[in-house]
Amino acid sequence: MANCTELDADSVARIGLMFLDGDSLEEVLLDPYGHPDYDFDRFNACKIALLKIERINPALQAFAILWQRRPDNPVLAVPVVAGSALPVEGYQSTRISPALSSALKGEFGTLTEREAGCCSRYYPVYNSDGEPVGALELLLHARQRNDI
Amino acid sequence: MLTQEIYLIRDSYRINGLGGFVEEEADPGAEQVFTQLRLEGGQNQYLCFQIALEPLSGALQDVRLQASPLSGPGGNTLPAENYSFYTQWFHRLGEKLVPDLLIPWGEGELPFRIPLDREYLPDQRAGAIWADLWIPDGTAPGRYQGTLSVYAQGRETAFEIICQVGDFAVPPMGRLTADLNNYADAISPAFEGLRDAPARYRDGSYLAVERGFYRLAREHRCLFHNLPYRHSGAIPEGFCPKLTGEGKSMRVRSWELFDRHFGPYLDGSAFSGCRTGEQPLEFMYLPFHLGWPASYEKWGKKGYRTEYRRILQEFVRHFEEKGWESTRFEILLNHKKDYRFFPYTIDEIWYAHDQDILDSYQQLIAGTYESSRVRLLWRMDSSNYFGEHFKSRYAGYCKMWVAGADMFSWFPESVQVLREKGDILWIYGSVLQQLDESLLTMYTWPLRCAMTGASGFTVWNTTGFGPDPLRCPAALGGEALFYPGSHFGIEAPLPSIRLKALRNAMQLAELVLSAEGAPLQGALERCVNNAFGFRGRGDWFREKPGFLDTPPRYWDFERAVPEASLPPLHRGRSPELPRQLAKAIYALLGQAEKKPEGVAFRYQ
Repeated sequence: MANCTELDADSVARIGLMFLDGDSLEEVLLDPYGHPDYDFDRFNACKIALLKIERINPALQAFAILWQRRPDNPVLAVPVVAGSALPVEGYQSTRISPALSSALKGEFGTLTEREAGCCSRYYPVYNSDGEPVGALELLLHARQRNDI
Repeated sequence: MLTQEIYLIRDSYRINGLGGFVEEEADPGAEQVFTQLRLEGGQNQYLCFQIALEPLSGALQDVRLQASPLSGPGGNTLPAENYSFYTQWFHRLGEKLVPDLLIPWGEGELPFRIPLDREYLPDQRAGAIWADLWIPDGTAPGRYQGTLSVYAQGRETAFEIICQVGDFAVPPMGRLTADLNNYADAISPAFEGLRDAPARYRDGSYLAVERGFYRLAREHRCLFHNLPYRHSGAIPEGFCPKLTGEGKSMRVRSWELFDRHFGPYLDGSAFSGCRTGEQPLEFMYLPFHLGWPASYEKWGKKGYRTEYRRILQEFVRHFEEKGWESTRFEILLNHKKDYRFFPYTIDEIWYAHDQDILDSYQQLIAGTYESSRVRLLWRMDSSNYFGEHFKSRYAGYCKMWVAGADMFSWFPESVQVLREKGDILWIYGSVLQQLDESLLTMYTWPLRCAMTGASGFTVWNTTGFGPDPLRCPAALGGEALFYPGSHFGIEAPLPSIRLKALRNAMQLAELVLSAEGAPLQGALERCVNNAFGFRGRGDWFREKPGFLDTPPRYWDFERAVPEASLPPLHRGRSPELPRQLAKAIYALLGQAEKKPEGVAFRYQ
C-alpha cells in the first residue's frame, strides 16, 4: 500500500484541486481592482483547503498559495490567499513569471526553480464553468517560511 | 568655536562625530559646553550628562575615566559606583555622524578611541561618552559635589560635578507604560550566537539574550513587549506550550519550555537587581490568535470552539497555580488582510464589516477567564474606528485599548468613558523618528500621556535593526531603541541614547503625575502647558473633523487626517524644552511640603 510520503507534488495538487473550490477563489476579492477586501466565507473555504493541501504529504514541506491575475493589468498577479506562508515574491502584486502565466492559462504543473533545492509548481484552478480563475502554487522544500 | 578638546555637555544635545552638534539649533559657543556641570533632580532617578572629546590632532586613544564619590550634606555621599559610562557609537545619516548605540564602558572588545572603527567611521573627528548618575531613593536632599577626571593623551582633564538632589522621588513603578512593542523572534537574526543555532530556544542561549532586552527596558522605565506570533500565525518554540490531541482531547502536553521562558518575568526574578523595580512584568502578550490554539482548518466548526476554549481555560488554571496574578495578559488579534493569511483586518479595523469578527470572537472566549484572579484581557488596537469603538458594544468586550494618536486627539471624552469602565487606554503613533531628529521627540509622548489621561503609549517596533545597524539601523533609526552587541563581543542587547532620553522623559512625566489629586497637580500641569505653549488640557486635543461621518477608507490620510490631528509636538520646539521644564517641575516639587507617594498603577 502506498504511503502518503510517496506522493509527488503533482499528485498532491490533483488531490487538493478536487476539494479546492474554484468558484470561491473566483470571487474571493470583493473588489479585484481595489484595496484587498474579502468575502469572508469564500476566503475561509480557500484557506482551509490550502492548509489541508499542505498536510497531504509532509515530506514535501509544501506551502500552498492561490494566485489571481490582476484584471486591470494582466502582466501582474496577486497572491490572494496564503496557506501557512507567503510566496517568495511576498504579499503584493508581482509581475507574472512564465511558469505562473502558463498555469493561469491552464497548463498543469509548471515549474520555477528557486534557491537551495526549493521550487514552485503551479496548477490551474477552474471554476464550475470550467474556466481557469487562478493558480495554485505549491512552494516546495522552502528552507524558511516567508512571513511578515 | 570650541577651544577645548575635552568638555562636558548636557543630555539635550548630541555630538556630531564630524564636529559640532546633531541638533543644529544648538549654539555650540554658548551654554552647551561646560567645565563644571550642575545637575539637578530627585531621588530614585537617573541624571545624565555627556563627555565630549574633540582632539585637535583628529585621533585619540587610551582614554580613562576616574570619578570621585560626590560628597553631600551631613557626611552623606553618592558613591562613584552610581555612575555608569557608555561609549557612544556613531551612525551615518547624510552629512552627519549621529551617536545612538551605547557600549557600556569597559565591556566588550572596543575601547574608547577616535576614530572608533576604521571601516565604519574613518572620518570621525569627535567622540562622546554618555554618563548616567543614579540617585537612589532615600538620598538625603542637598548639594553633592565631586570630580570626574578624563585621562587622555597623557594628561588629565578634571571636571567638577555638582548634583542638587531635591526632596522628592520618582515613583518606583510608575503610572505610565512606555510600551516597546516587538515581534518574536526579531532578536535571533541579529546575534551571532543565535542566528544559526536551532537549539537556541531550548539550550538557554536565546533566553539569556532576550532577558537582557526585558531587563534593559525595565531599567529604562519601559516595558519590553514581544508579540509571540507572526502574521502567518507561526509561533517560535517556547513562546507557547506544546499541545497534543484534537477536539475534546486537545490539551497542553508540556509547559516546560514556556514556563522556563516566561516564569522569571512573571514572578519578577528576571528583574532581580534592576534599580527601577523588581516587580513582575506589567503586561504580556499571549500567543492566542485566530490560528492558535485551534487550527484555522477548523474555523467555523464546533471543534474550533472546543479546542480554543479548552486551551484558554488551561492557561488560566496554569497561571492561577503559578500565582501569576499581577501581570496583565493580553490577547491581541493582530491580523491584517493585506498580508493574505486571514480575511479580516482586526488590528486597526479598516472596513466596517471586519467588526463582525469581534462578535464571533467574543462568543468564542466569553466565560473562560473573567472570574479568575489571573488578569487576562482582550486588547484592541483601534484607530480609524476608535471614535465609535470606545462607546460601542465592543467596549464591553475589550478592557484594553491602544488608540491611534491622531484619532485619539478628536475624542477627549474617551478618557473618562474608559476610565470609568476600568479600562486601560494607551495611544500610539510615530514615537520613534529618524536618528537625527531632536531628542525632544522622546519626551513628547510620555508628557502627552500625562496631560491627556492616557496611561501609556506604544512604540511600534524597537528591534528593527536592519541589515547593518552599525552603519544605520532600519528606517534611519525609526524602528530601533536597542542594538545587538555581537559586533563588540557582547552577546547582549545594548541601549541607545534615545532609550536614555525616553527614560528621562518617563521620569519627568511620572513626577508630573505623582501629584495627581493633590493641590500641586494644577501647578505641575501648568508647567507642562507653558513649556509647550498650550493654554490648557484642551490644546492637547483637536476639534472633531467634518469627515468623521464618512467611512475611514475614504479619509484623506495624506493631508486631511494629519491636518486635523495634533501635529508632532517636537517640531519647532527647542531641544532645551525638557531641561527647562524639569527645572520648573523640580522647583515646584521642592517647595511641596511632602514628597509625593508612588502608586503602582493608575487602574487597579
